[in-house]
Formats: sequence, C-alpha cells, structure tokens
Amino acid sequence: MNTRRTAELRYLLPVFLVVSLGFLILANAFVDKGIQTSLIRGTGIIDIAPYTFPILNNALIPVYYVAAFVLFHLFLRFRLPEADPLILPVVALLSGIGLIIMLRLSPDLAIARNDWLFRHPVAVAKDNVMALAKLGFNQVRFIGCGILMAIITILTINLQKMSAKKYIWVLVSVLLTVATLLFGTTINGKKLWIIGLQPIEFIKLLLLFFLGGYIYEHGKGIEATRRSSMASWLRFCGPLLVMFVFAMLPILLQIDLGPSFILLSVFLLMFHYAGNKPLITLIFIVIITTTGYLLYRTNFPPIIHERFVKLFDPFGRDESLSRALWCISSGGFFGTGIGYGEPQRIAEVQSDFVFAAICQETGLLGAVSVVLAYVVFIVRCIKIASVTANTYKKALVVGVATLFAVQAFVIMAGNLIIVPLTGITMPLAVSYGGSSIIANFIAVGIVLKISGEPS
Amino acid sequence: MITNRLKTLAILFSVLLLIIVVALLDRMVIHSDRYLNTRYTDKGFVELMDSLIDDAIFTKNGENITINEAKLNSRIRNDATRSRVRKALGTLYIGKDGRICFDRRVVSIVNNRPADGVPIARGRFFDRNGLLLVENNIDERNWKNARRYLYGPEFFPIIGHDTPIFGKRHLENVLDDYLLGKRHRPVYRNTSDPFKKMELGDDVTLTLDATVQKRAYSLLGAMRGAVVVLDIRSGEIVGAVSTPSFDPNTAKKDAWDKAFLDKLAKPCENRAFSVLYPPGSTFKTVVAAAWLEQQEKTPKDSNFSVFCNGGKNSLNISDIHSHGRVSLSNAFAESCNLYFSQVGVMLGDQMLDYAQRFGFNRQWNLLPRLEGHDFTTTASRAFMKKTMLNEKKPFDASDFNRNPKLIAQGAIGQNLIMATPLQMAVVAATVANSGVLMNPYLVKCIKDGDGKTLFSAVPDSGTRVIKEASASRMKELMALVMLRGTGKDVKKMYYEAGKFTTAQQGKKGLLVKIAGKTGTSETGATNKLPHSWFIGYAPADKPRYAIAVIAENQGFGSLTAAPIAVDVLAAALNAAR
Repeated sequence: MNTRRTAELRYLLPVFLVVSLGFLILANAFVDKGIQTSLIRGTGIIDIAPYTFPILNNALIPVYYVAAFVLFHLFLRFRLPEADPLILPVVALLSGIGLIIMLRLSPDLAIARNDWLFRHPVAVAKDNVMALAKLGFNQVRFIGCGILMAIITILTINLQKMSAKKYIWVLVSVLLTVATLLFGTTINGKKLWIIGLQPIEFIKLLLLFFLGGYIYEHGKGIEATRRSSMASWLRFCGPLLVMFVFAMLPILLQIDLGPSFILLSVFLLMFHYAGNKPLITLIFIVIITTTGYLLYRTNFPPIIHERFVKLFDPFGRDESLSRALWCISSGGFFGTGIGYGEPQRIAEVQSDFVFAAICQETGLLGAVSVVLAYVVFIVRCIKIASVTANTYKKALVVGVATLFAVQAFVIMAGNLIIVPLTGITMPLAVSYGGSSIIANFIAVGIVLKISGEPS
Repeated sequence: MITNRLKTLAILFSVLLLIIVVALLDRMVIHSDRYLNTRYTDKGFVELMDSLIDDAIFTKNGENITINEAKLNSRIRNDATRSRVRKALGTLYIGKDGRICFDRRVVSIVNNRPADGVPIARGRFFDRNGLLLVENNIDERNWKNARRYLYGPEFFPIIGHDTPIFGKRHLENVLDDYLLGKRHRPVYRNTSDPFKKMELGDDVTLTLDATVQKRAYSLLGAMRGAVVVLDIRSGEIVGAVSTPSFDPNTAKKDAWDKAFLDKLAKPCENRAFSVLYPPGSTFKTVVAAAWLEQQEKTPKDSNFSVFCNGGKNSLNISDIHSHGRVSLSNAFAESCNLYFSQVGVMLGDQMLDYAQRFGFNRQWNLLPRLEGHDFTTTASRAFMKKTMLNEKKPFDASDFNRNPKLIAQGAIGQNLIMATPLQMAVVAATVANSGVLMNPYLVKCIKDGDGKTLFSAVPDSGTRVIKEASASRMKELMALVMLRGTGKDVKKMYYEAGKFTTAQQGKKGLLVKIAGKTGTSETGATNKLPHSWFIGYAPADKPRYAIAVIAENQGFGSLTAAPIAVDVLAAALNAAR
C-alpha cells in the first residue's frame, strides 16, 4: 500500500466534499433566484426577452470535476507513486473554488450584459452574452484540458534533456512574442492573443526553463561571484541579464506591464536564489523602484500614472475599483453566501476581480482559506526543492513556487487595492482564462514529476 | 536541504502572505463600514465640467443654460466625452450667486447594499379611518425602502418626507424612532431571502381625515393659504392643509431645490401651523369674549354702543361701512371696527390676558402626550414687544395706556396681533366647546408591526378659558354673523339624503346652521389685496367641527375663505358618518 497516494486520497476526499457542498449551496441560490438547472443535456435556460439563453448550468459539472481529478489521482498512482501528496488536493481545491465562482457568475453576468446590450444595440450582441453564459462550462473544459496537458507533460517531458538547453527557450519565447505582434488579434488595443491563446502564460514557463538551465550550468559560478570581482560576475551573470532583457523587451514594448513586472520580479528572486551578491539584488530593487517612480512622475507611459492615481483614490477615480472595494467590505466574517452577494456589479469580475467576489461571498474565512491554499502549494514546492538533489529540478520547482507566489500576491493585493491593478489572473484555475489554466497545470505537472521521480 | 537562499525566499513569501492577511482584515473587518459608506464620485468628470464652466463653454439665457457647440468641439476631442458633457447639460443649475454650478451628486454613486444587519421596513402613516397615506415597500434585491406618498402634496406639510439625499422633515423626522421600530424590541418578519429577516417599524395613525384633506387642498387650488379643521370635543386635528405644497414623490432634484429655495411660495413651510398672519376681524372673537367676561365681573358698560359713521374715529380706526349705532351683537355681526377699537382700548390689558388664555404667545405641542417627541408650532403673538435685550415680552399694563391708537389696531386684529390658522381654529373650537380649550393633537395611535398599540391618544380634560355663559353668548354672536351679518351671503350647507352638501339655494334639504366670523386683514402691502379669513364651526346648535381658513391676498373673508370653510365643514361632517 503506497502511503503517499493514500495520504493524497485522504486529502482529496474532504476537498471533494467541500467543493460539492459549494455546488449544492450554489444550486440552492439558483433556485432562490429562479435560474433553472437541468441534468438532462446539461443545459439550463433563462428566458430573457427577446432572447432565450442556454445558461449551461450543468448540474453534472461537479461530477465532471470530481471525475477529472480522480482520473488524475489514478494516473499518479500508476505513474508517479512517490509524488508529493498535497499538491493535487490543493490544486483540486483551488480549481473547485474557481469553478463554483464561474458557475455562480455566469447567469448574472449574462443577464446584465444582455440588459446593457438591449439598451445599447451592438452587432455582436448575442455572441457577447453567450460567451458570458458559458463561463462555467468553459472553465470546466479548461480544467479538463489542463489535467490532460499535465498528464501529457508528465509522460513526455524529459527533464534531463531539457536541462541541457538554455538559450533555445529565450529564442522560442521571443519568436512567440514577435509572432503575436505580427499575426495576433487585437483586443482592447493590445495584441495579446494568437490562435485563441495568450502566449505570455507559456512564455513565463519558457523563461523559467531558461533560468533553470542557466542556473544548472553556471550555478556554481554564480555562487562563487558572491565573493569575487566584478569581472567574474559579468562573465557569469552577464549572459543571464542580456538574455533576460532580450526576452522581456518585446513584452515591455507592448506596454503589457503586469506580466512584465511579474517576470521581472521572478527573475530577480531567482537570481537571488541562484546565489549572487546580495548587494546586486539590492541594487536591482533600487533601480526598479526608482524607474517605477520616475515613470510615475514623468507620466510616461500614461497608464502607469493612471493606475497609481486610481490606487491612491479609488473612490474618486475608478468606478470598478470602488465597486470592488464595496464588494469586499460587505463580506463580513462569513460572507454573504455563494450566490447572494453582488459581485456582478464589478467590471470584468470573472478574470480580474475573482478574489473580490470570493471575499464578498465567502467572507473573511473563505478569503483566508484561499490564501492558505496558495501557501500550502508554495510550502510544498519549497519542501520538494529542499529534498531534490539535482540543481536543475530544484531551480525549476523554486521557479514555479516563486512565479505562483508573486502572481498570487500581486493579484490579491490588486483586488484589495493595495497595489495597482495589473491584468493578471489568479493562478491555478481560480480566475477565468484558458491559457493561464493550461500553463499552470503544465507547471503543476512538472512539479509533480520532479517530486515523483528519484533524482 | 534548505539553503540560505531558499530560506530567504521562504521568508519573503511569508511577508507577502502577512501583507495580504493584514489587508484582508482591514478591508473586510476593521474599516469595512468606512469603505461601504463612501460614495464614488467621478472626480475626473467633475473637474472637466468645472473647467468647462470656467472657460465659458456654457452660457446662461435667463433660466436656461446652453452649450456653445463650437467651443466644445474645439476643446474636447473625444466623441464619447463630448456626448457625456452634452448629456450632463441637464444637471447644470444656476447657483446662489448667479453662477452656473455642476452638481457632483449626479456623477456619484453610492453603495446600496447594506453590509449585514437587518433591513428595517419603515413604518407607514394612516389617516384616522385607516386609509394608507404613505406606502413603504422593501425592494428585496437591495433591501432599500421604496417609500411612496399616496397623497403627496396634501399631507406633505404634516408628514414631511424621508429621502436619502434630503433627509427627514416634519413628522417623518419627529417620529423617526417609532417609524424605525427602535423604541421596543424588534418585530421580525421573514423575507424571501432565507438568510435574511427584516424588522418592521411602527405604523402611525394620524387624526387627519384624508377626504377632508383632499377637499380642502382642491378648494384652495392655486391660492396660497391654509385650512385647519379641529374636532371640538377632543381637540383632534381632522384637517390641516397648506398650499402651495410639495409632492415628496418627486425624483427630480431641481424640484426639491426650488421647493427649498423658493422664498415667495415657501412650499416647505406649513402655513397652517407655522406661518403668522394678522388675523384681522377674526380676532374680534377674542375681544368680544374678553368683553363679555369683563361685563360679568364689572357690569357697567353692559349696553355700550358706538355710533359708526364709516369715517375715522379718535383712535384713527376707520371702517369701510357705516353701521349706525351698534352694540355688541350688531357690531360683531357686521364686524364694526370702530366699536371694537373702542372696546379694545377700554379692555386694555384684559385683551392680552384673554388672548393668552386662548393660546396666544404660546407654542402648541401637537404631540402632547407622546413622551420625548414634540411637534411644536409657531407661537401666535398678541401684544408682544421687543425689549432692550432683544427678547420678546408681552406688554405690561402701562404699555396699554401709552399708545391707545396702537392698542386699537390690535383690537381689530392688526399690527400687534399675528396668528397662525391653527391658533384661530383653536379660538373657534374653544368657543364652540363651551369655553373649554382642548389642546390640538395630530397622532391618534401608534402600533407596532404585530398590531400592538404602543401609544393611543386620549384627550385631556381641557382648560376652561371663558365661562360657559360667556361661551353660549359668543355662540349666539357667531351664529348671528352667518345669519344676518357679514356672512349672510355665504353659501349654505344642507342636510339632504343622509349627506351634508353645499348646493345652491332652493334645494329641498334641512338647513345646517353654521356659526363663525369672517375676517379681512390688511397685509401692509398696498399693492395687494388683504388676506381672506374665516373661523367658525358647524353645526351651530350641536358643534362638531371647528375650522379656520386663510386665503392669502384674496380680499374679503366672506368672499373667498368662508365658502371654502363651508365646503370643508360639509366634507368633515360627511366623513364623520
């Protein structure tokens, strides 16, 4: 009897219980609100004159969710019996919360969008509303894809071979960015999408691979620079910096500032982890802070100044931030109950402000639980890193942990209005966003593989 | 093994976690009410509008404000902003100093979901017969009270309003704690939300009668004035209307601003309770009552009479009619100024004494037995003077001897006498009640959400103002006014087929006698007609209701105020059945 996998099962079952309870509460809220849920063919219908929308509140979605994670668990039993037992339950919990919130939001958002379009007729009316009506359905499909990709990653990726390559990741990421710039679709004035995916999510992973490879190869050298001269520092760390700037430049040029900032912080933290002089890290921090301040002061690019102004005075400058703050502060200790809050008043709540919705509906307890879930994941990653001998794998796991930690912090802080808004999504399928979910699950697959295989 | 660098990262992550948790605590627990109750105001747009105003993009044409399109197009490039500015044109108004102002409230929204806590369904108002006057529904999506005033303008001066922006006035303000059900343990009701209960406020039943109010309001029409109807035996205020009034259901902000700022129409003032007018000849009721009582005590001038030739007498008082030789009955019936001016001077400070007995120089509290709540009216003034210290004091005896001409004017209800319609109605009611003054009151009972009575008004025993004999004599005099005095041509009331009507003469019905006193009071403004007053009661032999009517600047009392009074008394008598 494998103790790790049984332990994992022991953790998975309460997660399933809690998430199923959440679905039940949601179903009750729907009954209260008059939204129909149907088991047959998995669609519920709302009649909103003049449209009839299939809301796709599939009562079987919880079943699909449980089945998918049970499948993943069974796969791990066969393929990676020694993998860390807490990773999968935490991922299941966070994905489950995300799924509940998406299901809860989709009818209200679809109705609100429909009403708005009714008063402001626009050609793409129906598609717009349908996209919102399908939030829950799409989310479960993304999670399914994610699990599939994680399984494929575990089956196919050869970490030994990967550890040898460094610069190819930088090349691929730059090519990807350029391709998006040239062939991508423009949404809101920014070219971020290509073939229905947001490549930035995958670029984050690619750059982690690059960092890992570099640290693996030159790790000792970097560590040695702690006590050596500037020249040797340049020799070891120079290429790192150059490559990184090369990779980040195209993203910066698109003024896609959120992911740029994330990449920058991850790079800084990984660099520090790799063992450079602490002074260098400090200098970097100072440089970044002063650059940021100068950009704010000189009002270039204007979006930075705007975002900071909105941060300092949400009740005077930004309506959606005010609404988010109202939602958060009306949560109280236990929340208003799933389905009984009003998160649909916030703009883009399904991708940008999910944490605010969670705060309102599940209260302080629910929000703290989500934070703790992320903490568990990061702590387990660090634990895995500490017991891994192979430097490359170690660096990869630490990289994933850093990435998730920084990302989660920036988004939650942005929702709580202590940090300016960025366009990033909550990791691990809490927000709505296909590429983010798939990329995150690939990262989870890598972590599981590293923890499961003897190094 | 955990290297130092790994440890550093772990510490950093813990710091990040701590920041998030502290922020959560602050936003959700510590300062949550502050965030919940802050408004969002689009400062960017407000600043834009202010700068546009400063740059004279908007121009005033008398009352209207228009946009200078050319300047706007050159100033703003963005189409969406331009159309927004155009839409905001309707919210501009002309401020106090004549400048164009932009109302920030228009671009600000407020969070209308209560944090937690129980929503309270605000109590309603009913008239004396249980007719709903103020409807209150809770919108169960956002737990806000939707309050509707079913007879807005008729009851506004009494009930007032309760709106989030403009606050509370009149009874909505005075009885606020009852209406929110705060004076007792909460009365709960379930709602459609399984996790929410709501509290019920207390319902207030007024002594007013909606049919009387409606009739009086429609009769006053576009005139400025007031009507007060009192139940004689108990002192209940059955009708109190003030026009022009205001409909608190109005959602438009400029209507509210006009109502509050309109210094001429003053729709927010209650002319029935709080505005003072010179009562004119209606004050002769008080003087006559004082004279009768005086004659009881010192019967010397029992047959005092005066020759009225229509000109000025020694006290500088004149009368437009020449009445010949008149004694009390004729003088009262014909409302002879010369007679009463002399009587007044002879009475001297007795006038002040009896005026004060009738309630002058004193505020009325219309919620007399409701502890902790006062709804006071303006004190009517009789013979008050300003002292050196700028306070108001009634005349003392020496003042009455000093300037007889002034006293004479007071005796005919001008100059030193200012009365509210309520006060004069109380005068009529006291006379009709055989000289016993009943404190008027507004609230009949207050019941909580379960129907339990928290307060039920019981009239007190009253105060005797004049002797019963004097009162009966006064009643004869007042009946005489309507029979062959100044009120003889006023429309009559008949009792026919179970109803009181005021149809034309010649109908087959029982004549219902009315008693009263007309009044025509000079306002001091030479380009305007005098105020039209009437006080009285009906039926004259078995008095039920007393009334006071004033129609500002409408001329003779018998012309305007008296017919209104007869109609309203008929409505009151009908409503009583």
